[in-house]
Amino acid sequence: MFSISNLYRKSFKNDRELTSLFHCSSEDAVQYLSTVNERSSLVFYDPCYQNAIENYSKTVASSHLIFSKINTENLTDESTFSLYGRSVQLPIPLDPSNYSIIFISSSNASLNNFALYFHAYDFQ
Amino acid sequence: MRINDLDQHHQRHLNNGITNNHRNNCFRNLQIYFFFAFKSDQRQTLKNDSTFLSFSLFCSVKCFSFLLFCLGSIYSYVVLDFCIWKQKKTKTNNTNLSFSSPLPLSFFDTFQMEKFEVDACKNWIETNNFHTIALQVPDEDLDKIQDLIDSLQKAVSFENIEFFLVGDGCSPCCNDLLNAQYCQAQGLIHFGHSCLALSNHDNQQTIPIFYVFYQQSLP
Repeated sequence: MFSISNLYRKSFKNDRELTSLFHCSSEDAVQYLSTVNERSSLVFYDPCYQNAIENYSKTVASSHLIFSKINTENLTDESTFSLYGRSVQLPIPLDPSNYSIIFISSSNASLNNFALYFHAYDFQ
Repeated sequence: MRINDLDQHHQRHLNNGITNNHRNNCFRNLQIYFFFAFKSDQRQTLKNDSTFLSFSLFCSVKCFSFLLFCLGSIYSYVVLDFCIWKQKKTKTNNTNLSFSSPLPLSFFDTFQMEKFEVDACKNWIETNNFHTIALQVPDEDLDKIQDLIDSLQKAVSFENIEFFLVGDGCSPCCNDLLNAQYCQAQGLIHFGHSCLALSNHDNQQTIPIFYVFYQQSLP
C-alpha cells in the first residue's frame, strides 16, 4: 500500500492484505503525515501525543487525514469508529479500500496492543 | 621641628609622592587602554577627559562585580537545591514510604512533578467531590509518590481526603479497578501510559477514572 522506506510495516495477514499498520517514531510520523495526499488515513496515536496531535491537526488542514480523539466511552453512533479508546468520525463507511490506518506509537508494546484490538475488530 | 621629626616629615612626603606617582602611572596605563578604543579624531577630545575614563572604569568594575554576584547566587541555589533533593531521595529510599516530608520541594522535584498535572487532578477531585482516591502510577515513578501525595493534599481544599496507592494487581497500562474497589475509592487517577481499555462493559462495577498520560511533544 505504501512505499515509505523509513517506516516499519506491520501488516495483518488477512486474505485480502488490504490493511496495514505502521509503527513509526514520532519524527517519522510527522514526516509521513506531511506526504499523505492520496488516500484517506485514519490516524490513531498513543495518548501521550494527545496535546501534540491536537495542535498539529489544527495547523495542518488536510482532508486526507482523519485524526482520532481520545475517548473511553462506548459510542453508539454508526458514523463514529471507536477502537482501543480512540474514536474517529467517518465521512464514508469504514472499508479497507477507503482508508489506511496509521498508528503513532511510543513503544512496540503499545503497537502490539493496538494491533490485537484491531485484529479482534475483524477489519477486513 | 626637630631633625627626627623633619626626617619623618620628609619621609612621609616622599612616600606619598611615590604612591601618588605610582597611582598616576597605573591610571595612565588604563587611560591608554581605553584611549585606543576610540578613533583617532576622538582621541584628542578624550585625551584629557579623565572623568569619562573614570566613569567607564567604574561601570566596568561594577558590571563585573554584579555578574560575579549573580553567578554565585545561581550556583549556591542549585547546589543547595540539589542537596535537598538528594536528602529527600535518600530518606525516601530508607523509610520506604513516609507521607509527611518536612523538606520543601526542590527545583528538581518541581521539574519532575509537572508531568503529574496536579492542577488537573485537583480540579477533577473537587468537581466530583471525592474524598477517597486511588492512585496508580507506573513503577518508574514510585519514588515520587510521596511528593505527589503531598502536592495533591496541599492542592485540594478538602481536609479529610484519603489517597491509596494501587497498581500491583495488573500491568501498569491497565486500570487496577479491583484494588481500587477494595479500597472503596470513589475515583481512580491513572498516571502514565494507558491502554485505554474500556471500563464500563460487561456490567462490571466500575468507578470514574481520570487519566494523566504524561504528554510528549512531536518534533
